[in-house]
Amino acid sequence: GGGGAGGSVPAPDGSNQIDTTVFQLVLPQGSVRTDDDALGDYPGLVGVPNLDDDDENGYNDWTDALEGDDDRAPLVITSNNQPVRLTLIGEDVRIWRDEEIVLADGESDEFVPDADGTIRLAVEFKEHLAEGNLEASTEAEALNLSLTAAPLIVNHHLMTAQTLWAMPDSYWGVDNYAMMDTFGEVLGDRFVEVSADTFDFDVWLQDEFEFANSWGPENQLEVVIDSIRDRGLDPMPEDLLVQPGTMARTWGLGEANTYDSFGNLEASPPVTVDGVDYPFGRIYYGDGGSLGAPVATLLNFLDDQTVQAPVALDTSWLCVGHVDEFMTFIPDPAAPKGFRMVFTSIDDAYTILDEMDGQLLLPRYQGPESHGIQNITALRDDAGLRMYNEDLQRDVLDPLRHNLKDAFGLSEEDIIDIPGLFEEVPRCGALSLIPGMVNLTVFNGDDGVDHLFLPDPFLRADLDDQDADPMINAVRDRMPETSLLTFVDNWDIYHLGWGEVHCGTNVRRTPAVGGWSGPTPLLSGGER
Amino acid sequence: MSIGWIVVCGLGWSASLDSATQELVYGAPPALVEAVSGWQPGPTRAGSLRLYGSPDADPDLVSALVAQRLLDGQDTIEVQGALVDYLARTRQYADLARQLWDERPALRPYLVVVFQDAPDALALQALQLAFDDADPMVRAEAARVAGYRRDLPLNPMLTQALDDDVVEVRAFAARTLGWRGDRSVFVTLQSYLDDPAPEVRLNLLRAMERLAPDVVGKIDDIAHLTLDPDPRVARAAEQIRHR
Repeated sequence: GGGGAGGSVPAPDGSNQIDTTVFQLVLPQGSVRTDDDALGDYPGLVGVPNLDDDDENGYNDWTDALEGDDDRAPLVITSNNQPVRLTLIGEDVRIWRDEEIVLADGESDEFVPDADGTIRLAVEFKEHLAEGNLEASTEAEALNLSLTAAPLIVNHHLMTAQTLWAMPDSYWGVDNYAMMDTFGEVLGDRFVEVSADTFDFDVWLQDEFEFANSWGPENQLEVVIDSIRDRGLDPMPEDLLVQPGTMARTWGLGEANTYDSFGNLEASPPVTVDGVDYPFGRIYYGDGGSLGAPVATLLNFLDDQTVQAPVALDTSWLCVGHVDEFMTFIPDPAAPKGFRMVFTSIDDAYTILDEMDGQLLLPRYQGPESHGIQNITALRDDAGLRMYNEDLQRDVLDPLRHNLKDAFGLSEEDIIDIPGLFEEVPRCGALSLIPGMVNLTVFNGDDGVDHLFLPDPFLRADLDDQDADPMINAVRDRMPETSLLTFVDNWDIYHLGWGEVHCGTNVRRTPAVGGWSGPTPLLSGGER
Repeated sequence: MSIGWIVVCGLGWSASLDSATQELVYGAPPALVEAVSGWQPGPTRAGSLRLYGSPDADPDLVSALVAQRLLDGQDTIEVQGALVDYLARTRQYADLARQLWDERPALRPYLVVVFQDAPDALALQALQLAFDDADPMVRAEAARVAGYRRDLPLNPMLTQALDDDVVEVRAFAARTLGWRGDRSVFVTLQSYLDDPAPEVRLNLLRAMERLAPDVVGKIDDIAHLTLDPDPRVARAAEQIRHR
């Protein structure tokens, strides 16, 4: 090496040179020295848990102790060629040098610099938010460095979309091929069809898994949170998604209920609430109270991650019980916060219905295989249905809207009301009667176009003429100008199966990788 | 016509289809009969069963064959429930539902909704039976469906249901009494505002508000409920007082 006393060598990220003549711990984002040791404080060095399976042998890489692994966080120590004693505390942390584990929890050893004047180490973590402390000392000086594994961050809708998955299916003369065709036409090879045969015709792509990420300055781990739902799609994460850099894991055991589906687990875009910044947004999920909730093991884990401070919303009133049935978030570069929350408004739906011609036939709503509703009059003048919806608006949606404003720090201008109407399913609860247009899929690709795929409400006689649909026109008027709206036919397989577009799709996104200095108070739960 | 159906029909079921429907069934092409017998409900997103799509035939004929399949009773109760759900949307099979009521108690929770659109006399008789049923799911369904049949004289059954042991029955009864618009039950509803279940108190409040919006906010009990431990009840009471 060309280092040694008076020399300089590349920093861990190669972006600049580091001075080997001083005692320091060099991280990708800076160094810890005796005269400036702030970077050593929590979270200090941040890496990702090494839980993927780079050699694809069925065991995670922490277990394998794999050579050449790229998921360890680099750490360079310089000491003007003095030996350095290192002491590691941390059950789920270990330190590598030259592809060998050199320190584990409670161990201490002396390290001599290489010929270039550096001690090049790599820090490996076993789990999310694993913590450790590394004490480094020469005869004259001592330094401390916190070691922290990054938390798991659930993806949100401002992250750039990469791939959209959906499953073509047909059943007794009906199919969803029009929806598949639309995805293909709009997204090209960014849309991937999932085989119905392979995954037992389980079309609810949204419900089986949720994408999340962890990252440090030099590493990234994609995490597929695999639900305990375990219907036909259960093997899809392992079969199609897991690869080096991507792991799948299920949190929790036991019999799943509807609240364990991941149409019921989402994250908002970045928000500020009561002066607290949530740079990765906040997780939200539906809680059915006495009817059930997502499995506690998962909720506790997400709660422990702290940075996305999960919010529970009452979804006990819904038959299916998922948060994607009445709200979501969409990008809007022109909005004050860069996004809007779209939220169901029953009042707005009745305003539109009351202005429509009562004799207008509704072909899609007719017949026992559908809703058994002939025309606008039958829908609009059903007194029981109207009272049921009025109750929902006042007792459920209005309070939820209020709570969401508090939970996400929103004002009225951040919210777009989308007309929607519910029916009451016997022994179950509320279900979208008009296809729930808030139950949409956001695909904001790297081409800069914010695609929104919404269910076609079919509130019209001419099924081919979307321009004649007053619900569609109302939504078009309210959505951001930069959004490219595509109303897709999800009627037979999804709407009548008690879900909509979002329920039947899943999207992989590029994580908004960033440093950890900003959210440190969140990362530490505000206790440090 | 399926031989199997004739045999099954002869096994002792007393329920039967009306003659017009029977004619449709007897005249159905064998391939369609086979198709309807093999038409399996699929799971909804919530996991319950529903008939998707339809065999390609006249809808009335398909419905008739579905009715015959239900009558045959060879399917599990859950599948029979999906058949009932389908038939309910035709609004044509209340007679069959009434007959099956007596023969298949396990099917009753699914059958109640059929009477939402049944002729008056039949609906009244069936819902009265449902209110007296031993199964609380059936009683709750009766109290719920009564809200969509404001034309039927069901208030006595509904006020009685306010004393039911099961919260869901009481809550639906309270809601329905409000929906039905008979202001004479206002005082009765008021007397139940101390119900231990917040869901019931909330529905009572909303019902009273619907029945007498001009006076409900001035009642002392409403003021007390602004301090209710359940935030939904407290919020509703507060809204009513300041309306």
